[in-house]
Order: sequence, then structure tokens, then C-alpha cells
Amino acid sequence: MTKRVEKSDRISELYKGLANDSFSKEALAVAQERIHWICQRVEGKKVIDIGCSQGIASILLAREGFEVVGVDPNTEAIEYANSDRAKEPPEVQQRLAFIRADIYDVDLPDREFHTAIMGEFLEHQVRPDKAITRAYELLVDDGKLIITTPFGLFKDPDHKQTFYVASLYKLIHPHFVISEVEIIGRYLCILCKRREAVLEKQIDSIELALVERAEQEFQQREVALTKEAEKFKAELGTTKRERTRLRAELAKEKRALQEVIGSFSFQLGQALVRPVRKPGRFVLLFLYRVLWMSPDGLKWVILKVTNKSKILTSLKSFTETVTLAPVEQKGLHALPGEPDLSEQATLLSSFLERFKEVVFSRPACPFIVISSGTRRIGEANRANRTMMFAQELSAAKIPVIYVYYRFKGGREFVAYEGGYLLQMPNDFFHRWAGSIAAWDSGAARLFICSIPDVQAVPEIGLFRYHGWKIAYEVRDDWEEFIKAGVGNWYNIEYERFICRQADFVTTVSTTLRDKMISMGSNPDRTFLVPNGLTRNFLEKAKSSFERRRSGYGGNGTIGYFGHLTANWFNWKLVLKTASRRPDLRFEIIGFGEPKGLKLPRNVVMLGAKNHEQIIDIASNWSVAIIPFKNTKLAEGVDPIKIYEYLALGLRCVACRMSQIRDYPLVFIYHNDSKFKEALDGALKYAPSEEDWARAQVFVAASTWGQRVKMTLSLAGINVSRAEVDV
Amino acid sequence: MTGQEKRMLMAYYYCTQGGVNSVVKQRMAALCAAGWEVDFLFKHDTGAKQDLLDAGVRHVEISEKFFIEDTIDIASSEPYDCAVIFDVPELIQPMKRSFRASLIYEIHTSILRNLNKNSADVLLASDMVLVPSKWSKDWLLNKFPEVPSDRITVVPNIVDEAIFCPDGPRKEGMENTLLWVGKLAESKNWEEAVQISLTFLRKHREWRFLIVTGGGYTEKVVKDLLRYISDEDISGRVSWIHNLQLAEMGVLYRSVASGGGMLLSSSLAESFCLIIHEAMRCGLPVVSTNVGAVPDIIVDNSTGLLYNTGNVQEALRKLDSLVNDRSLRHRLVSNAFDELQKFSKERLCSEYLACLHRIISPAQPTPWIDKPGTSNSACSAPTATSLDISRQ
Repeated sequence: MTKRVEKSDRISELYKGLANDSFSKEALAVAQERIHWICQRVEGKKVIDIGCSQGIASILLAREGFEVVGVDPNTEAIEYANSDRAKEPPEVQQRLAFIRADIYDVDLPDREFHTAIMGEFLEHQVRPDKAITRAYELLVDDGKLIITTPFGLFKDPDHKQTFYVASLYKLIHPHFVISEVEIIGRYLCILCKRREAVLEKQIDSIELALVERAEQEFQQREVALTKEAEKFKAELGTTKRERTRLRAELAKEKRALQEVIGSFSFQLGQALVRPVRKPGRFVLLFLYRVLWMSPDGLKWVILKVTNKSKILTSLKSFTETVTLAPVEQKGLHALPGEPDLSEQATLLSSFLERFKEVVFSRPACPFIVISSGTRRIGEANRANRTMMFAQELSAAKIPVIYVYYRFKGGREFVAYEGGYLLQMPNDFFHRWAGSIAAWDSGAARLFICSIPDVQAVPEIGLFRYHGWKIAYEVRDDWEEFIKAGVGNWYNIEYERFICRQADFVTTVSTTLRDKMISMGSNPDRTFLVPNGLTRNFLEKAKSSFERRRSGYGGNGTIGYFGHLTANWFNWKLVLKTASRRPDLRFEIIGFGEPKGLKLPRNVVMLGAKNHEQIIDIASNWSVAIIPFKNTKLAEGVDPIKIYEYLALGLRCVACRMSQIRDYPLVFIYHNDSKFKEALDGALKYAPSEEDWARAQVFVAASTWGQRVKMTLSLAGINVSRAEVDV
Repeated sequence: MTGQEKRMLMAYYYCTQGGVNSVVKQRMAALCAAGWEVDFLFKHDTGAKQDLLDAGVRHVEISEKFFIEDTIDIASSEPYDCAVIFDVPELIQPMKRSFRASLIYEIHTSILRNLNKNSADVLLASDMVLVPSKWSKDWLLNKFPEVPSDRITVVPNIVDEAIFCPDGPRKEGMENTLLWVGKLAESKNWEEAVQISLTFLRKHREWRFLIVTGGGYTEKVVKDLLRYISDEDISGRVSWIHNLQLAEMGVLYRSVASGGGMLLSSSLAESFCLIIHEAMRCGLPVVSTNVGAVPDIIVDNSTGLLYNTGNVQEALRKLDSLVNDRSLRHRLVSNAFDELQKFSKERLCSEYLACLHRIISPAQPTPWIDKPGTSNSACSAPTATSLDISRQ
């Protein structure tokens, strides 16, 4: 077993600043000062470093031209010293020798050395007087002895002596004359000169006796105080732990109280808003005083008021902002009165029981679980593929459990009020997957894994075991997402495993289809099922489509709707093009734009809009754009908005996306320099009747209902027999 | 016999299916019949709360943040006749200070790191220490020689005989399956099992490997597992199921058994090896490491096959012998059924209740019959044998 190197043996490491794990900065400074003090007092040519440890003092002296012998019985310390010696130039090495031995046993010539060093040595000796005698023997006449030792009490299991001034003086006096005393940090540093002859009689001095007595008393007090300090330290630790516990309890009570206040305040806020017609600043100030809102909140509200045309909406937002109970989860806001996690567990359990009855009441009807990895349906106007699938299925009266993602500690929660759609947060789903997978009404069951995360890996095995068909739905190039700095849950091994294990794989683009096949997905079971649009949007966009078909070319506005993150939206390209084409107007609908954008006058940000508003605004556009950055991420994309643009009859200018290059009315630019050219091309292009007919057929076949039907048929589920109308 | 109702508080960290909780569920019917009302307090809920309630536990509470304090508070504030603490040594002495009634400490873990958290003081602080096997008892007595032997009682775990039995539903399509069941934890030595199984699959190309896990897992473990099974030649024959319901495990074992498969157990230590008992009860032959309490149930070449941990070649030879020798398979399964009679639910529940009674009411005779032939009874005591049959 390797002997543990004691702290005191690490003097070289400490000196060099390599022992920060065990020593503080103050200890480092004191060690360096002590070593320098020693080295500065060395005289003559030959030096003996008694108890040299890792040899730092010896090495420093050898560099200065001294001939140094370092002696220490500690093997690891001498090994370290020798390894440091080996790094020195040859001339230094020649002047330096380290010997692993006891100073009493090593064969060294008497009266040979000019200076002897005992740095942190004497306190480790059972017979320090023997050490002093040995040093006396080794030194020449007038030789110097340099001693450093801890001054007073020092907690070290190897210390056999505790020195104060008097005790050390008495020890040294018969052999040496003390010429200098210094205290550096907690260390006593003494320089003394060898006597010609050893004094036979010990010093007998009343002053020394007094000092010695005083030091004995001091030592006792020091011991007592040290023990008391340790006791207080232990008590402090206990008190701190207790305080932490009480703080946690207090925080819990505060949260509970805030929820109650929040719930009450929200209702109060609502009651205040209702009768107010034209609030004005006076009412805002009044409410501020009543509700004691923070200055930041008030500032936010005033900004909102000046930005919005409808003050009543702002006031309602104001009251909601003021009265919503803040919760500790970062970035999440629980609605007032939202149940805590254990209440949610109880509620979800009851929802599952009721939903199970729905599933079992329709044994001919398939039962679907979609593990989406995205947010809940209905949150902030978001609408992506999995949400559309779930809504289409439930509209067709096919029971579907939609598993949505919430961050750890999140509490957003959707109540189940009957019907065919049950939304379940992912943390609960993973807990109850075993029991859900075991539901078997005799109907066809399909588990759609739309997120290849770590939980999906064993979950598909669980569902397959219970006889479910497993579909892996590839709606994005997750590997490229993580390269763009988004989605650190992803690991390519998960996706590889899932695509091989799934009964079939669907992808939104040909690029992704090829990728999955390269990952090991069976080519015969990997299918392209692109994104789509809702029938509702298609219906509402019809008039715009027909208007354009009849010849309306828009008012020259270039439009975009969707997410505006700089991770993929090419702001540089759009703004540069807009600056160079002041004749064109650009309207951007969406959210997530980067802060601090310098917009030219012809670029208008319209914020987030709902579908009706989008259709209304876009009906005047001439061209719609999808200006994503030309990256591998964009390559694999099938943007939902392309179907909506086409449903509106818009010509589309898009970055390179292999999936849409053959779509009707689409103009692709392969690099940024071609964007303007593509834009001009699209603006000038007058679609033929053939183009319109093709576009019409295309969008009609691109509804979410069609996509869902296709996916179910790939799973071998015959919807016509299932008494459902997808 | 019901007599006066008695109340028991149980406490354990993990509200999971299987393991300690499945043992408690098996005891519940006997406890309820003997007049016990049981409340359970957990620190973490991982989905077994309803199972316990369905089994007859009166209340199941979860206390994530203040588990220790809440257990002590609840124990002190309610009139419990007894408290049973499972594998939470840090709770024993604080409980003892404030809890006036009997304190039973059950040690089920086989993980050395957790076993070493115990001390003689902790064992002596409780009124009784219950362990599921002689191995556990010997380990504790070796480690803490100052603890008297009679302080530690062996009460084997109870398997749900309704779920784990040779006759019952089974699934199609489980032919030639090598099964591994456990947690993806170091103590279960899953990597060795994967290594053995993948080598086995390369040799036996018509076989598949099924990993069934429970408990938690880390991303690192998943990545490591997937790297092992990424070989295209193998990956199509490897499946992984997580958190299969306990009721389904019996179906699984029977299905694998009837498909000619076997269970591989690679654990580094077992205080009882519940999984092996469950599998054997379903007629599934077992190849296991020779560790902990496994030899209590597996006699090499008689009721199962043993190999030494780390000896992959030995494990492969044992698996091969089961593939090649049907008569060996039949013999092992048949002998296993005979051996398992010693662990019948009825007998073990009776032993458990006798232990409880000994602690709660040491002056009174056990009010139910001690079955004949129970000379191995962990709790046999003079009062038990002087049972008044005339009361029946």
C-alpha cells in the first residue's frame, strides 16, 4: 500500500504553488518567505540540509553555487527531490546530492559543513537535543545553524515537540549562540553560530525561567482555546444545517402563501379591469399603489401601454403581470391555483382511468400514443407536426395520449375534461409508461416516437413487448440541431438504435430519409411523410388562392411568418437585401427575433399573429420567403409554412431545401448571393394555369389528415374499418 | 384472528415496484388478517404508490425533502405499535430517541457501500434486525462482532405466488431468449452480462437477448449499453424493456421458459436474489454468479447453474449446456420447484408474523399455529411451540 505523503512533506510543491488543493494562498506566501529567509542566511561553501523533505531549499542553494547535501528518511520526499534535481542543469546537479537516510545513520564527515539547515525538522524529533548535537558535529568552527520550527501549538500528528522561545533557547544554547530570531507567519526562525566548545552547564537565568513559565502557561491556554474553537466549529456546522432546513421549510410555506395570494389577486385584478373603460395613467398609478408592484414591473407596463393601441388589453396584461404569483422555477410560470406535483399525480391518475374507459369503449378504434418531445398543445399559439397529428386524431375520435415536454420542476399541466385527447407531461408518462403500454382493448395500437431521447430507447422496447407497433417519426435533423447549439439531450446512438428497432420510420424530407437509412433503418420500412397544413387553414386560404389565380399579384410586399431565431433565420441576408431594395416592403410575422436588430424602414415587424390574422395580412403579399441559413440543418427541413404559403397561392422564395425544390411555385436560391435574383424572379413570375392546378392538387393532398392517414396505413391500421373519419 | 387492531409505520426511500415493496405487498394480506394497519412513508415516488394501497396499505405518503424528520414526527405523533425501517440506517438512532414502541430495522441491501453505512450502534439501537438471508446475517455479524447473533433474524423474502407460478398466461414469440433482469447499476454487473450475452448471440445465431430493467439509469449507462450492442450483426436481436409492470414479469418468465430460454444473473452480491426466485417459480432455468445468498437457492447442477463472477468462459459453458442438453434443463427446473417449497408464502408470512409478535408482545404466546416441519423457522421460540392448539 502506498504510504500517504504527509502535508509537511510537500514543501517544494507548496513553494511552487502546486499544492493549492491542500494549502491556502497565505500558506504559500509564508512558505516562500521562510525558505527565502533560510537561503539568505546560508554562508560558506558546503551546506547540509537536515530533514530536506522535497528539497526546495537545497535546490535553490545549489543554483546559487553552494555545495549541498540534503538528507531525509522519507522515501517519497527524496524521490520528489531527486526528480526536481534531474531537471536542473548539470552544473547544479553536480553540486547537489540527496540522501535517503536518518541524519544519525548517514556516513558524513564531521566538521565538514559551513551551514546546517533544520527547516521544520526539530519538532518531529523525539530527542531534539541529539539533533542539535549532530548538527554541531557536522559543522566547521564558526559554522552556522539555521532553524525554523512552528511557534507554539501546531496540529500535526507527527509533531513530538511544541517549541516556544525559551524551550528552544535552552535546547540550542549549549552548542550554539543565537544571533538572530524572526517570526514568519506561525514559524520561529533562528540563526545561530557554533560555539567553539560545548557548554557543560545549562543556562541558569531567572529571566529565562520566567519566560519558560510564562510559555508553559501560554501553551495550556492555547490548547484550551483550540479545543473550544473546534467545539464551536462543530456547533456552527449543526446550526448551519438546521438553518438550511428551516429556510427550505420557510420557502415552502412562502410558495404556498403566494399561491393563495396569487389566486386571490388574479381574481381581484380581473374584477378591477372589467368596469374600466379608459383607464389612463391615473388608473395605472392607482393600481400600482394598491398592488405595490415593483418599479421594473411598472416600467414594463408603461412600455406596453405606449406600444399597444388597445389600452384595455394592456391593462389586463398589467393586472395579470402584477398578480400572477411568481414561482421559483426558472422561466416557467404556473397558473394561479395550479396543483403541485403530488396533486398532479393524483389528478393524472384519475384522468388516466377515465381515458382508459374511452379507449376500451371503442375496441375497433386504434389507440395512439405520441411522444412528442415538444410543448403542450395550446401553448403560445405553437403548432408543429406532433400537435397537428394529435389534434387530427382526436378530431377523428381516435383516442390519443399526447406526451409533451416540460422542464424538470415545471408544473404546467393540462386538465382532462373528457374526449379523445389526453395530454400528459413527459415526467409522468415515463413513470406510467408500463401501465399504459399494458392497456389492451384488442384494438390496433401505435406508439409514435417523435423524439429520440434517452427515455425513448427502452420505452419502444416496452411498448413493442405489449404488442404495439412502433413508428419513429423524424421531423428534424437532431444531429444538426445539436451542432447549432440546441438540444443537448440528443445522442446519435439513441437515434441509431431507435431507427433500427422501430417497425417503420417516417421522415419529413428525402434528406432525412436517406440519413435514417444510412443509420441502419430498413430501406423498405423508411417512408417519406412530409409536413402539411390544417383543413381549416386550407379552407380559409382558399379565397386568397383563387384571387391570385385570377391574376392578383399582391402589392409588392415580401412576407414571412414563423420563428425568427437567428439560429436559422438569415437576418443578415434579409436586412441587407431590404436595404438594397427600398422599393420593396418586407413584413415579418413571428417571434424569437434577436435583440438589437437595426431594421431598415422597409422592414416591418408585426409580432406573433394567429391564423386568421396571418391569412388577412398575407393576402396582400406578392411573394413569401423562407430565408433560412444555408446549413445542413436547413437541408433536412420540411417547413410547415411552405404548405401554408402555397395554400395562399403565394410564390415562395426559399433557401436550399431538397424536400421542397420540386414543389409548385417555389424558387430555390442555392446560396445567399442568389437570393435577390430568386426574389426578382419570383416577383416577375406569372404562374400559368397549369401551375395553379398543380398547386391546388398539391395543397389539397397535403393536409394533416392525409398525413395521419398515411402514417396509420403504414402501421397496418385500416381506418375505414375503425369507424373513424380521418 | 384479528383481536385488537395494531398500527405499523413503515419507512423506506424508494416507492418502486419490485424489491422491498413487492415483499411488503406479499406480507400485507397476512398483516391485515392479523389485525395490522400499515402506513408507509417514502422519500421518492416512482410509481408504486397505488400498488401498495391496492395491497392493503392504509396510507402511503411521500416526503421528498424532509423524509427523516417527517418519519420521526409521524412516528412520534401517532399511536403506532411498531415501526419498520428498511435500509435507512441514518434513521434508526434518531427514531429510537423519540419513538416509544418497537423499532424493527430491515436490511435488504447487498450493496457494500450501503451495508457499510450501518454500525453496531445502529443495529443495537433497534429492537430487532431482520434480514432476508443467512448471508446477510453472517455479513453483519462478521462486520459487527459486538452485535449478538440473536439480535439479527432471518426472514426470507416472499414472492408473489399468484404472479410467479409455472401455470399462467404467456406470450408468443419468445423462443430462444436469453433474459437478463435487473438495474443498470454497478452492483448488478450488467456489463458482464452484456459481454456474456453478446458472445453467446454470436455463437447462437437464432437466439436473442432481452434486457429488462427497472429503477433509474443515467445517460452514460445508456450510451455505454448502446455502444455494446451497436454491432449490426447483433443489434437486431437485442431488445431492452424498462419498467415492465410486476404483474407482467411472471408472463415474461413463463414465456421465455416455454420458448426454451434462460435467465442470466450477473450480480456482484445478492442479499436474497428475488429475481432468481421469481424466475425459478415460473419454470425458467437460471445461470447465476455464485455470490451472496444465491447458493441458498441455487445448488450448482441441481437447481440451477453457477459461475464465478468475472469468468465469462465459465458462464458461456453453462449457458451452452442448457442449450445443448434438454434433460439438464428439465432436471434443474424440477429440482428448483422442490427447493422452492421451503420458501412458500404461507410459511414465510407465518414466520414474519411470529417475529413481529415476539417483538411486540414478548410475554404472550403466538396466537396462531406454528406449522409442523418448520424446524428452520427463523423465529421459532419456546413460546411458539407452546402454542395452545385448543384455542383453534
